[in-house]
Amino acid sequence: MRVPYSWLQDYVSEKLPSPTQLADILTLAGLEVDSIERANQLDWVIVAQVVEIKLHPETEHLFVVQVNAGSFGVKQLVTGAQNLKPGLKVPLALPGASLPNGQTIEASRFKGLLSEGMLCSSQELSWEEPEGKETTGILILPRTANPGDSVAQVLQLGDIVLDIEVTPNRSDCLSMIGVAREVATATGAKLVLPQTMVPVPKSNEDEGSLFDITVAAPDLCHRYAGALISNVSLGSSPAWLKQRLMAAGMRPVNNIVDITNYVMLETGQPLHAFDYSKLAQKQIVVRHARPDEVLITLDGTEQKLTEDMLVIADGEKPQALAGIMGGLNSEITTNTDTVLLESASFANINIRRTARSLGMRTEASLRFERGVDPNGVLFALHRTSMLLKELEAGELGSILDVYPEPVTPHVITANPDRMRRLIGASIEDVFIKKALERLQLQVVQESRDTLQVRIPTFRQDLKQEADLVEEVARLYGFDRIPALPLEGKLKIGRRPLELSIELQIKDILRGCGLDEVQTYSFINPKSMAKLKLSPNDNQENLIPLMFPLSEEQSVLRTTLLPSLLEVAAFNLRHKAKAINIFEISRVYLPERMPLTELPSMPRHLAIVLAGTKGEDSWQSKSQENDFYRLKGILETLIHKLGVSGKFVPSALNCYHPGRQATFKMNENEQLASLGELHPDVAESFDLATRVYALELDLSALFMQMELTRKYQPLPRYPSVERDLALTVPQDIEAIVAEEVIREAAGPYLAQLKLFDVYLGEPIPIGYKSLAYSLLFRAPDHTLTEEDINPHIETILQHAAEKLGAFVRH
Amino acid sequence: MERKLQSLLSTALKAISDATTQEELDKVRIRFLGRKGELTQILRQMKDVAPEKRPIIGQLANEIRHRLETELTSHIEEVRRLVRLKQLEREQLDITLPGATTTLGHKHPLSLVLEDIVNIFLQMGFDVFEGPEVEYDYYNFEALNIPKHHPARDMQDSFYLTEEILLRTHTSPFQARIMEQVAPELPIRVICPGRCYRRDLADATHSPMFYQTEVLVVDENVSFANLKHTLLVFVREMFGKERSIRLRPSFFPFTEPSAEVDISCFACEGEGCSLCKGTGWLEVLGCGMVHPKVLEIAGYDPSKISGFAAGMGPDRIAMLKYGIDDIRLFYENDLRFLHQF
Repeated sequence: MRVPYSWLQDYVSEKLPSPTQLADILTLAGLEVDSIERANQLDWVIVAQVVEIKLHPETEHLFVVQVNAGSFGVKQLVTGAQNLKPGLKVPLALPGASLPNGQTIEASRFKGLLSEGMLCSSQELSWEEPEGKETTGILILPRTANPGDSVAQVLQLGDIVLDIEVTPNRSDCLSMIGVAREVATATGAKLVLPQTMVPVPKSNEDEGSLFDITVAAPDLCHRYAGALISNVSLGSSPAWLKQRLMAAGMRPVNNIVDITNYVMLETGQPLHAFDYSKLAQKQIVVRHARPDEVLITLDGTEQKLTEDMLVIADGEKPQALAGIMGGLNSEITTNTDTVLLESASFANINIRRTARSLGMRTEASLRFERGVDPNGVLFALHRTSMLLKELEAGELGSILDVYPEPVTPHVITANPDRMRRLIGASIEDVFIKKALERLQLQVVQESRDTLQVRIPTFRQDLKQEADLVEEVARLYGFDRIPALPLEGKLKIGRRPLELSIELQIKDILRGCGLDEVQTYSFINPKSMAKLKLSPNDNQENLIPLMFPLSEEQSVLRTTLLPSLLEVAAFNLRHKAKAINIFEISRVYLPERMPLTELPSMPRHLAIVLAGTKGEDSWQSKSQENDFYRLKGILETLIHKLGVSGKFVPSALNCYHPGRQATFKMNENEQLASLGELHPDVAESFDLATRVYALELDLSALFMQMELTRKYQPLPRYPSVERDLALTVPQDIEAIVAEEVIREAAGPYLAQLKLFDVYLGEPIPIGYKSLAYSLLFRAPDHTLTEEDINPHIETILQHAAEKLGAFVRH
Repeated sequence: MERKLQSLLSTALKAISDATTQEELDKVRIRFLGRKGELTQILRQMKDVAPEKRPIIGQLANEIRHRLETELTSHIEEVRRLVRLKQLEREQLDITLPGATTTLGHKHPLSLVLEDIVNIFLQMGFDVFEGPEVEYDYYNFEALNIPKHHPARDMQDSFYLTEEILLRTHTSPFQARIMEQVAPELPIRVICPGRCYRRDLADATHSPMFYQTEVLVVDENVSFANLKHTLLVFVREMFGKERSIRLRPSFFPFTEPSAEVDISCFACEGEGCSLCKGTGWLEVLGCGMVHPKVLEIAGYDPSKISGFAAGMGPDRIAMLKYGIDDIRLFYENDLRFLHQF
């Protein structure tokens, strides 16, 4: 809500505090001032009187003008304007002036002659001239203007405007009077209501017979009052009114419409003016729209109406969308001689629903949606009546008022003791009562521990004691309320296990050199297609958003991989060499589609690696990422979390067929899948490099974790270490070789470690060499060669028999 | 003989002082003091010495042996010292060369801030809970005193999945859930961090997905003054001991009274700067006393039980804390950005 400072002053008995002080006062009262602006200030633009005009000696397109600029002296200007005459008063922008269109004025020479500024047109000043009286060329100012005066002052421009963010509960503050009431309450000044005039019937002639009002939907229209404006003299509004409307953010139209808008801004009561001559059977019928009815609204749009919408119809068809916008048909035009003025109160929910479904938002609908006080309906008409008279724009006739069930102020019972306790400050009863009174809330009855407080109908937001607590607290001052520690039994704050483990996992992964990323939970369904996932994780599982912002963000993800691959691609485009990222977030798996209950939302971990492990250094080049690094990270993680299981080959479409695996836990439950991304998939994500990816269901991990640790006594006897290199056929899997060794190694084997895999000379083609280091230890004595040798023999023998191995020499 | 011994001493001393390595010194020792060394050779001639002079010669020979051994030992130490010295000189490093890189990963700035927030409240005895990101309209709105077509629903355009299910627009539905679960037990002191979603096009200050953290206390005699204290403790832990707070009346359908909370600007100490747009204050969270209707819906008697709630945006807090001017950076995940944290 834009509130011009000088306008607000009209309704406050004392001089307003400075705009910044006022902004603070309002903000601390709950009306947050977003900004303090100056509407069209026009610094260094002054009134100048033309003294002399000569043709430019060098060209016939320019004139050289001498002007009297009052205290600024006589100035010479060069201009091309044709409409100047000696004696006229015109706006002069001096060097340094900055015009609303962004232009900054400097002294400059035109064909050798100095121009000490610029004479301005109305457009250049963003000043709208009365319709039909536009000047071409330089704006001519009123004769009464004094040379040297500020043009902004002459045109009544440059008011200071407070932009207030009115919270949805305070519909009463969508008006100058409402804001003024807050100012008065906060500063102790008095609210000054504007002058009104109750229209008196001109004669005994039955004015009621000139039109008729029927409210056919009383549940949606609590009150409807109408009156005729006769002797309409349509024209443009005076400058002060136009300036106020513009400063408040509305466009002036003509005096009748301007007055209705002015009264709306002033009182918060939207008004609507119909051209009386266009109303069939001189009837106003407030009713639901009929099926297939249409209405062309003032903005020229044809609105298709539905039965749940409320319209203001005449005897035949809709003439306005109730509370939102009038119809083009009954718009006020230059031919209008009689106007039917509406002041009404509509049910907020219906207005809101209609405005939403038609995508319309007007100053009127904004106020009706939030709630308009039915008891303010007549005041707005009386005020309009006064302004019509003042502006000689017409004459308001007597009012026809349909108000079947008048709304009366309700009473809230409040317990001052409980209010004090809730606030936590010892605010005295006297203060509480005073505060309520300042807000025009009347204490009608008082008993030992309760107050009966009558709430005026313009404060629809005050419904119960808690609402009064806020009123008292904010008048007392939130800053005066003490800060007191919570009381109660000491207790430990706890984090659920899943969250603690998530933190631990993040630490482990960070230690592994991975960067954490955070990506949107919604993705593009196309990126799922790119992953070529298997049928049981297909797109039917993707929960769509009903009204997504874009296709990129249109479905909830069932996997984190697409998002991470996109992050990888983004960073590769930005020349990153080492992509080592992970994310822990939820995925959304519906039980069934369409959704009838909440989906399951397990936490997933995804890792994506590409490029190198880190940065190259002067000592060494950084290691390229590969499948085994990824596997190693997973092994580190599950080891730290005490999970065991095994890696088995897998066949997912998104991975390289020969470079992927699934990790299964003890119960044969699948925990993670990992692999090198299939080159086709990588390409579809614009990844022109090898990419390694892993996805893990943390909820499955949480079930299997073993975090308790038990100490193993340190060995008391020394160990014996033996290295062994087996040359085995190339297709023998490492795990098979390892099992054979373990089986044959006897009771003393304490550790088995693969330390080299080698192919090539001198190993025969079709073979590879696996080099192991074996550590033997006995719990009760020092091992000798004799203890070990037989077992080594057995290992070699088994390796030869079961693996086709021979020992490398 | 005496002369021979004296000459041996001077020759040996010279040899010792000439030697520059351990090996040379070893040779000197063998040459003069060894079993077949020169001193032994000379002493073999003792039989030619008059018996009464023998003790004097013997003593002299012992003194010489002793002297030479002392010299040798100290000289060996000296030589070792020199050798070590040379070795150390040779091994001089350019300590201005960069150290070997340890590649540690980086936590996301939002995670850092979330952890900070949660830890502060944990230390104040609050339990952490998570609510569902996909939520029923009922918990997101209705149970929070925001009926259908309530004007407050304007404040948050939502991503609906069905008529009744949506992506939560705030972490506040958790209030309704936890109260419903716990009521009528007391007290409740909880914090709920998590992702939220609103139908906002991404720009420098808006993101369709963002984080929120909800704080809720329900007990007997919980007051606005308690809320103020809790927030003051939080703000000072989070933003520094010198911070002060300012509460402004505001409106949330599920709290009454409601307030917006500003902290004194830490960039200018409240003087007014570009960060606080000249006001000296930074808006960081919204809060209020739990609305009696919300308490009632959850099963508490609002005439006896009260509570407070607060909601804050870790995204905004991270932006303020780290001086980040565009919220989109959090979700774009440029490594050059992430590596700064």
